[in-house]
Amino acid sequence: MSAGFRQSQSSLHTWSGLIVGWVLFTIFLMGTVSYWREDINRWMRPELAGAERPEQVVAGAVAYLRDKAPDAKNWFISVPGKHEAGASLFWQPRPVEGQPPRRGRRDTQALVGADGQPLHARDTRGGEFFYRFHFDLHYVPVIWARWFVGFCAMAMLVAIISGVITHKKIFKDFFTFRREKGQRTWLDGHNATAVLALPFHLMITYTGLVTLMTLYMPWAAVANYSQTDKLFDALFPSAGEVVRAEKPAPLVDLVPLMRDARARWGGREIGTIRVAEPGDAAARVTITASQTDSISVRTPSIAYSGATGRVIWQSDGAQSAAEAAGVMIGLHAGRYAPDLLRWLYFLSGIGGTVMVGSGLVLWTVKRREKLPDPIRPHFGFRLVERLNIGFVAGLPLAMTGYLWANRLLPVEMEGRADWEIHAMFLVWGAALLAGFLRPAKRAWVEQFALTGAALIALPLHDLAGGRELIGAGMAGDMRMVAMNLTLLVLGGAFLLMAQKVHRYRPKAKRARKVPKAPEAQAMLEAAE
Amino acid sequence: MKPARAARLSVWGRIVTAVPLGYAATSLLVMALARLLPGDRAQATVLATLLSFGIYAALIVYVFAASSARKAFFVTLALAALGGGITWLSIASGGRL
Repeated sequence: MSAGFRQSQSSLHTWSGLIVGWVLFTIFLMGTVSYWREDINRWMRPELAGAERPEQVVAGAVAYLRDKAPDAKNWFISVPGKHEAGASLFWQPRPVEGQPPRRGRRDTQALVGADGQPLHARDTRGGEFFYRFHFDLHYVPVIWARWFVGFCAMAMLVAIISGVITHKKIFKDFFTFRREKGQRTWLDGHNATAVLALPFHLMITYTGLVTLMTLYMPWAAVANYSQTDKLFDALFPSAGEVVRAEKPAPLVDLVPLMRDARARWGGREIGTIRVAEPGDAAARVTITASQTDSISVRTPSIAYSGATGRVIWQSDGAQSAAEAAGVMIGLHAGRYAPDLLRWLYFLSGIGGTVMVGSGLVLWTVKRREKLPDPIRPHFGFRLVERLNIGFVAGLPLAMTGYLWANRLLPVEMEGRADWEIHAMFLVWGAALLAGFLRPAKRAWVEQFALTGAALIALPLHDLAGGRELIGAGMAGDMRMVAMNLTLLVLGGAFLLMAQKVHRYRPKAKRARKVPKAPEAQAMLEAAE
Repeated sequence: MKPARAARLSVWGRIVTAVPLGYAATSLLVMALARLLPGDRAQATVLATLLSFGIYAALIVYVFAASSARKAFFVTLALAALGGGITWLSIASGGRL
């Protein structure tokens, strides 16, 4: 490999990494915590009891829907997983002639328990917010956000490839960690987190792009099909539209259908149930398997007649390329991963977040020594240095603020779920501002320390409330206990980081025999 | 031209070549690939789309590694023309589904 090639890739790595680094840090961190999405959902709704048997919950959901929306066009029921309380369901009202179809209304959805009654919990977006923010951002139109995130992910892919090329001694450097050596330590830390989980970073970035590939790269479909819908019909065959018979017929009991579907799939869990035209003789029940039992997100489904319970259609297995796409998306989302593997995902994600964060800090560390006037650095340097604080230290603080808002905002507050999110952005804005206003080192220490203290105080606050930590532990709700313990450990890690930064004393600068700037300029001109 | 100015021009030339032009070239190459891959059309379409991000990344790495910005520009343009030409010929002769 020629030195020139490696040099070109080093610059490509530095700059493609820097311009999107802050966004990537955000995407990585939000995505990483989303591996515990269900647990965060659970933690942010402390009123809920533990999980119930899925079949009973579905029966409750059907009772609720029969009462609330007997003449809906479609019912959608998400069957709860092992650790989830209640079935979240929504329905699509029968469209009225001349009115546009309604979308995403709050009054057509509910969280219902086995007794057929809505579960009462505080209004929150829970872990779903982190998950959606990770590719949809917030306060901006979703489609712009996805293009922007895709652009950043592509830059990440290029930064990974050019980073590997730059790195000639990839394995030797992996075992090198020079502690307390300033720039070398940052470089070694960046290298260690990058190389340790390199296959993960490469996989997660590529598969992340694949999750939205029909948005980013629709052109292959355009080359083969006059209408993209034809491709989707070929890839995702279905039983077809339901035509109403306009003859009432009672809906069959769904529980035997669930048992039948599970038996046909060798015991796989059920993910979702859709009932089209409930109450009509042409009603159809489509049961789709959960994504927890296979890597691929392309899970099988079976359609039953809603009037007789007979099977009327079954999906085929996906073909090679489509299956590959399903597996790639599944690898990204990690929904198939049992707890131990989930921890590996989480830790690898933390590794990726640290890799991006240390890369951002390294940019400033590398340039600080070469500044013409270290007391008054130029604008670009200061901007990067200060934004680093507001993102690398400020974002974890803001996310902790979101969890605190969940505990502190009044339960019956109007627009409560939205205010939890506003609270996160208010804290983030304050952290960014403080990053610019406070002396740099002090700002790092303050924000890390505050994050650590706030994280540790969360379980303590619950403990003082007497209910969640001990109560949950007594009730055998180990997920709640695990989440609280994780918060404690994370808080400890942030306090440790604050202490490290606080104690860090940069080595006295060696007097270097470098020509001063004007002299260098003169030399350049003389050389021309 | 002063060396600094030439260097800056080269960098901006490469960025324009890599990002928008590179995306266009990748799209046309992926369209050609979707036409040329054997077997079922839906599968060929998905496979070409899956490969697209790798093609784009490789093209960007090349554009920044090429000996000159000018050369990178013309190679990328040639790849775009190749992909576009194959796609056009293939659709003109075989049509779309």
